[in-house]
Amino acid sequence: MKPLISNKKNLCFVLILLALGLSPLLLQMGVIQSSSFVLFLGKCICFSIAAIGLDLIWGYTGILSLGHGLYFCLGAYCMGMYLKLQATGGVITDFMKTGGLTELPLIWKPFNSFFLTVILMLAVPAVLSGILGYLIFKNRVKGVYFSIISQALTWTGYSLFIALSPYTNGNVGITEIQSLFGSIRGSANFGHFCGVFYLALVVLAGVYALSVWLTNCKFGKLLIAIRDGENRTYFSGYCVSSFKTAIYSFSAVLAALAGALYINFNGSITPSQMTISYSITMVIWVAVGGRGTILGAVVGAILINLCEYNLSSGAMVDLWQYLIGGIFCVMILFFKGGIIGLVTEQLPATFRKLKNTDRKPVRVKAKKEGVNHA
Amino acid sequence: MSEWITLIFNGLSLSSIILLTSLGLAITFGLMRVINMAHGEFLMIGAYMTYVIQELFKTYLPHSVLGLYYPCALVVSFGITFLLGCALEKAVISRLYGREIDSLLATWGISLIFQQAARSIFGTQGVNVTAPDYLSGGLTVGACTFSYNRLFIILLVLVCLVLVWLMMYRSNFGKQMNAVMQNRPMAQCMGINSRKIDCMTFGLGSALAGVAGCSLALLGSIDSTIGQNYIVQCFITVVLGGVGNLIGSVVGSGIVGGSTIFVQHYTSSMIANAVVLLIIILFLQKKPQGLFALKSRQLDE
Repeated sequence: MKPLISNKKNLCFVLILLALGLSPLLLQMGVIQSSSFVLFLGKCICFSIAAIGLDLIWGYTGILSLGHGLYFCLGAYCMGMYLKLQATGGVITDFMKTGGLTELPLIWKPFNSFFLTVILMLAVPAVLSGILGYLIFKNRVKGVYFSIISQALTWTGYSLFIALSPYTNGNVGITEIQSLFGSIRGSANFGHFCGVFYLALVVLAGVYALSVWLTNCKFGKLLIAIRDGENRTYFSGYCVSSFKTAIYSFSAVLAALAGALYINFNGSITPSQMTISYSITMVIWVAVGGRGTILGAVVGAILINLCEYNLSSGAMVDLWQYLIGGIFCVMILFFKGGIIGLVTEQLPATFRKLKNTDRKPVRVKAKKEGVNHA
Repeated sequence: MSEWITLIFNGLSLSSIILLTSLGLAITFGLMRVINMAHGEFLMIGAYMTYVIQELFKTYLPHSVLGLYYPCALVVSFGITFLLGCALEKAVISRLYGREIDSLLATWGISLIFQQAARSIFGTQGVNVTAPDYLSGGLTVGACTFSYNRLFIILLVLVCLVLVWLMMYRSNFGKQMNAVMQNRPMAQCMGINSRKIDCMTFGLGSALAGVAGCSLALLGSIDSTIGQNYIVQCFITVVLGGVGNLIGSVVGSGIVGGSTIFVQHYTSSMIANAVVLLIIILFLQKKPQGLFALKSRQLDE
């Protein structure tokens, strides 16, 4: 309990968690009218998990990946195929038939079992990002070069997923999926919905705790050291590239986990979530919330998505794009620490300044009086 | 035989478009170390400008001079994107020198705004430009047909390349530009207005994108995502060629364009994209600095 009370950020996170946790109950009691809103909150939980992953590599280690959509989608496609195969009873799906396949392709065979699905869902992104990260970081590709390569990678993945449409259903993606616990639509299936919702919430809490612990122990300090002075860290005798690979891989796994949970709420996954613009959207969440704090990632993901949910329907849809572009730009230009940085550092600093300027004339006056006396 | 010639011509055509777009990027990224994610949007603005000029010619001028709209559009696109680039530099980029990653993100925000503006003004449906009479049709040699608009684009790229080369290495402005980019405080001491040079350089890079957009308008329909389709390829081209020199961009775009068309011939365009990007990524593992890297012993490059 002690770290909870002493650390305001953790307290803040617990409050967010409570608010999220209460929302299905409020829906049941009729306080919240719209069930799609609570469903959307579920998606926000998944986005927060992905944002935490991105924050770990960008905010803490200084690696900007513009390709986390790829890992998000890998997780989502793995889970989606499992759920799809559950629905068809483990036989070939419709889109594969239209694609000209006669039996379930070998790569999708393991997804008949839940156990294997969970393992593969985490292992595939981990191994892929591990290999890529090892190669890229070992060759000391860093900064913007890494960002450009990661965005090319995402584009590669996107092209492949569209081109291999008999296996992935191309542009359409995997659709009409029920969640892990069965259908979540309608009031009759409220129990199923709660199951998925609280599962996601527990995962978010776990990921948050793990990330906070990770960033507070020596490993986390090293990440910050790499961000602030990569060469110095090399010269201090640390193998920077393996640390970078490890954290990159971990964040890819978090993105995949988020994707796998997300598909339970959304019911479909398309390659459009693998595009560069979607990947940068994730970066926007972290930038607005505040990079370099785990709480910032969560706050940013939830806030931006809630705004988008409320504004991007109806007449405001045009305005929203201007707004998000503008906010993002202003945040990058003037508020490097995002909302969290603004609240914890910039605002108090401004207040202090204001107070000091109030005091100054008084001091001058006192001096003058002293002179007069003499 | 004729199949191969067509293949080579198509490769050359795609390379030239990539080169024209990368030229601007090579200037902003290579010289100024600014990652302009809105570069694709300048492309889009150039393309839309072509459309606007065409419509203006149709409504206000007699039909006989309609064909002149295209040269006009080239000039107008260049001018508008140059001014926009300068404005963007003054407003945003000038605050972000030395913060490469932040410049990438801030310009992405700008690109979202530009895209939405295009959607608000021109709608989500693509618009089309009709090529002027003298650019429609093609030159037939034996069994091969070379379309005039693609030939024109190749010519345009060559002209742009020569002009940029002259400007960068043979003009006073180019010398000042290189001086500022290589050693800013020393250049300032010599009396060069470095803020002005920054602004002009960025404007020039954007204006080249505008010209590229103008040429893209000849090839297909224009919509708000037209820039996004090219930006990844162009960034990787600049990195492949090696940042900071023209010859790298020329060779890089030749490789990217040529190999994409070559792979596409045997598979589909999506697979070709994926394969080429993957090969380049693997190649960059071998030579992270690109093909024509400036030799440097500096630790933080």
